[in-house]
Amino acid sequence: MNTPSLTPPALPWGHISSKRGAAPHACDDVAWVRCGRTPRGAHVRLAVCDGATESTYAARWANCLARTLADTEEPLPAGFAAAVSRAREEMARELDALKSDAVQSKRPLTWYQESALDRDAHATALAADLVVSDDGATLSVVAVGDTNLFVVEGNTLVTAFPLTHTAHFGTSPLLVASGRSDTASHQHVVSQLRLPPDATMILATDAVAVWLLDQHEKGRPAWDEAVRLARASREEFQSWARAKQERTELRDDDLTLIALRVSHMGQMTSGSRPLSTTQPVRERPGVEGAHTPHDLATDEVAADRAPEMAAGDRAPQALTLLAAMVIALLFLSVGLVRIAPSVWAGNEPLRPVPARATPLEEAAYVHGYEQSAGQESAPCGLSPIADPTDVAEAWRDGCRDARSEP
Amino acid sequence: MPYASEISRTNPTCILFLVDQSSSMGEPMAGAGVPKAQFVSDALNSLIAELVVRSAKEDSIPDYFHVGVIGYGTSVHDALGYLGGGGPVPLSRLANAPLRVEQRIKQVRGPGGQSGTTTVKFPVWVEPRAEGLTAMTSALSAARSALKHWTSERPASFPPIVVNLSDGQANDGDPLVAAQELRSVATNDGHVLLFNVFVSSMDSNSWVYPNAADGTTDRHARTLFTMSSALPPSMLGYAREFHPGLPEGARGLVFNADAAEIVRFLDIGTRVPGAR
Repeated sequence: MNTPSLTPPALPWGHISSKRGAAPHACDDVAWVRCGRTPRGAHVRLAVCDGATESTYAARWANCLARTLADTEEPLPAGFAAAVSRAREEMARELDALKSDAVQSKRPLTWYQESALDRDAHATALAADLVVSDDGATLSVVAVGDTNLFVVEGNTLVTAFPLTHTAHFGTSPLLVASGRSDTASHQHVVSQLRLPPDATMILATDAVAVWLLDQHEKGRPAWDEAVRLARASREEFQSWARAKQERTELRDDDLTLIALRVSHMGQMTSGSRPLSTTQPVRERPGVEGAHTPHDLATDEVAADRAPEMAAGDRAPQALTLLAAMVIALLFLSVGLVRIAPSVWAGNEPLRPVPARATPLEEAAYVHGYEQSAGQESAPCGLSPIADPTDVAEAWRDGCRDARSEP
Repeated sequence: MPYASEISRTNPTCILFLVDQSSSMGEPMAGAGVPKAQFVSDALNSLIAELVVRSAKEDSIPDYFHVGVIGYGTSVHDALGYLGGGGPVPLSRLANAPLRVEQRIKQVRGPGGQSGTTTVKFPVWVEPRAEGLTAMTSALSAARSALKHWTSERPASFPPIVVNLSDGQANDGDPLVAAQELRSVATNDGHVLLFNVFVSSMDSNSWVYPNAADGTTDRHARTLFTMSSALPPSMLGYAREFHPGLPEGARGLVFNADAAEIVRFLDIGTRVPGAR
């Protein structure tokens, strides 16, 4: 076995920012994340939703949908339908509570708030399951609409999903509706990828996604820039966005940019396969790079996936080691734990990682810092949107400690 | 590319309605069973309500639109003047200040396809009115003045959209010159769009979204054609959803159309890119 080198951790960095002139909380973009372990390896579930501008309760629905997508235990893509169904029930409960509150507080809803209750709210949805094991890193993604995922290696695009060209973006993306009359969620698309050893996932809602693809199409790839911006301070990100918007290079929209570096040691254990290819599941005939709407009721992809995933189960010891490393790095990255050599060797039980989903905006800062470091209930590593510098320093400190230990 | 400006809180656009309130608007509307004035005010109130509900957030209404209504009969007046006057009104202000909110019965279709009724809230900003002559030319000039001022303060905005709803010919001068002057007002994103709806007591010989004047022999229809702007690409796209094959250069004009076509036209003519 090779000596594992210390690599950057798998943790999401990013920003969610509202439109110009809007209050910071008036944002229809939402991201939730859940981390944990599965029998197949360390697991991260990310869900990003973009509420449709024309829905009054879009932000509420986007939050409900993203939270439920992140929280649903069943793996993707099969878990998508159940999550949407649960999100709808949750949304109905929330709106009922809203009406009750209005009655009880004797502050009736306005005519337009009441009218909007009779209409569905809509949002895009993108949910990704990342599983890292000794067999490499695999990604299962489900998408409805134009919230996009990019897998990059350095400054090179490996794959874009679900939309692959700027021309695919329009003003009427598919959306998941909060009501049962919805048909768009039945047209979700699915992709499964095996990630290269040093891949970065970038998740972006439409405005940022179309800018990134535009740069790529013009031969000026900005993937490095995206990762840098995801890790930059909120002020720097917003300053960048405002400058681009002033020059009309970036749409004035809610903005989400999340980057997740997925370093895994594909050659660390004997028998592991090089992980250098990505395999989008299907392509839509006649539309280059777009993916086929996938019917929930006949999810062939889930069935296709099983043998591949089983590879991780064949090497439980190596799996444990890899999972330990990834999760330890996750903790290290937010300064929650200092990694000891025994953890690297996998000889000690891992700290439990809560399976509860966490809103990306607040998770690291609120739960990572304001709760004391090292708490058993500490969540997985998340980028603190408020101040990534602290995290970077904590990570560097942790690296130094880990290196200096015998 | 013109007509591509984003519409946002910081970069709103303006929708201005010119409403014929002459005495002939008291006659029945083809296919609607109500006087034309009632049909037009209902359509306008519904449209404003739709703009509000589409834009509203849980705790605020972003002012993506400023809305104005100029009524014209023997003279011209600001139909939203009760809000203080001064030109087009931000949507949030309009939303919270209708003249009244009525309860109306609405036909609905259940999940199994069965029809039924439900009660809905119906805000009213514009009252039906039918008296006097048709001062359309003066209304076009008033619109020009208002929009010249509005665009000078928002030069980067999506160009204002003016929808003129009328059932007759101007009797206060040549509307062609006034229309041309109105359409010459511009932002950096293009000239003011002027669309025309001829509200008729008949529902025959309808002429919708024409791209050439030779489709009719009606002199007044030709005048309205000359006055009307071509649909910009985004609106042409919407219009093609209902009228497949609509050619480039199709103008924002419906003449002798039935009530449903007019409601659809108002939706198409006030749909702007960027509002998803």
